[in-house]
Amino acid sequence: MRSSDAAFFDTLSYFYRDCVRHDGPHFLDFDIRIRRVGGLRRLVRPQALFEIDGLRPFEPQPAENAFPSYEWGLNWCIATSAHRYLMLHAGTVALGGSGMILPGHPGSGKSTLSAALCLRGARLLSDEFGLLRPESVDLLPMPRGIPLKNASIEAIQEFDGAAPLGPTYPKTRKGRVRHLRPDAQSLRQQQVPAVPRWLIFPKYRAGAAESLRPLDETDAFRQLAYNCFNYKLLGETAFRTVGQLVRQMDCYSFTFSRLDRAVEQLMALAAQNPAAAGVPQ
Amino acid sequence: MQRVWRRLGPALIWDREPGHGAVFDPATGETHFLSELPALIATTLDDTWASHIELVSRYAGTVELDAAAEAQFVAALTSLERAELVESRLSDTDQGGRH
Repeated sequence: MRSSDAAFFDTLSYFYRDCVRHDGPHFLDFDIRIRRVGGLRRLVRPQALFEIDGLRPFEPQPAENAFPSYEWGLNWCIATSAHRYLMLHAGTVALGGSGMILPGHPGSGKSTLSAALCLRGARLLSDEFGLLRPESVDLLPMPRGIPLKNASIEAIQEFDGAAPLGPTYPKTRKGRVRHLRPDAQSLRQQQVPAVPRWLIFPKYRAGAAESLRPLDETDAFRQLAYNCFNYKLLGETAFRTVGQLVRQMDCYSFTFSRLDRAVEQLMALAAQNPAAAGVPQ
Repeated sequence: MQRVWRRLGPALIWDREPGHGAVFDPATGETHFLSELPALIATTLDDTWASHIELVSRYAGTVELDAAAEAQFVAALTSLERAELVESRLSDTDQGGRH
């Protein structure tokens, strides 16, 4: 990660200072640069540009949005290259050694629910990518700042007034965004995979009562494949991995509106499973 | 003239036992979720042309199908063709055997 933008590095440090390594050169996955656009743009409505390995896949963004641009740019890097893994469009958390997968498209509530679960003691694996090794079907951690959008910001603040949130970015392409910092435990255990145990398809519906409904294997398979970024690309490997996943997990659709009740219900579900050791009470 | 059916290409891969659950077609990379009758038919088809009557007998022996059952069977074959899991053509023979 390279940049001359001091404000951007301040924010990066707030989120990831414990992840910086000082023990010598390592194999790097991505060489990313956030730099200011030159010329007149340095003075008039300054812009920041995301560069990966010398390429510029995106249009410049307002300079004040450098951090969300970095986060979304990194998502793009992973989504376009990490095909050694099965990649689900899902929030993923761990309760003890057991993983909970929350697949869903924007607006489903997966990021907000992942954030709330982590504020109640779950370990963050990812708010965006469920990464699985096909050969072992274990969930890999990639804990990063969770981008909360628009009304989700207030929902999390109401849920937990002490939630560690970064700066507000009022004018991004996704509206108003603010990131929840990953907790120290999640960052410390980012080399520790989890065994997938629960598959929950969240659906946020304003005013709806919480409803956790078991899904049959065919429905679960269909929905999970639909929420897999690289299902077609991985072909038979993806087919077999998704099949194995739905057989080994308890599968549900979950409608919710209130975060506190939603988290309570999901924690209660996890507590029913004696194999989920260390479920926070 | 009658319509005959076959499946060319690699064997289908079933998520569970043949005829149940999701099925993967290595020829196209597509995953299908077949209802019971098309799934059963998909397990009986091979690379030899066969009429729907011959296919019924492969699975169930010599049986008389009423018109409704026959229509249902042909509809299932048509749905498999739309999914590109089988192909069909018109044959100029009336009986079973190779076409």
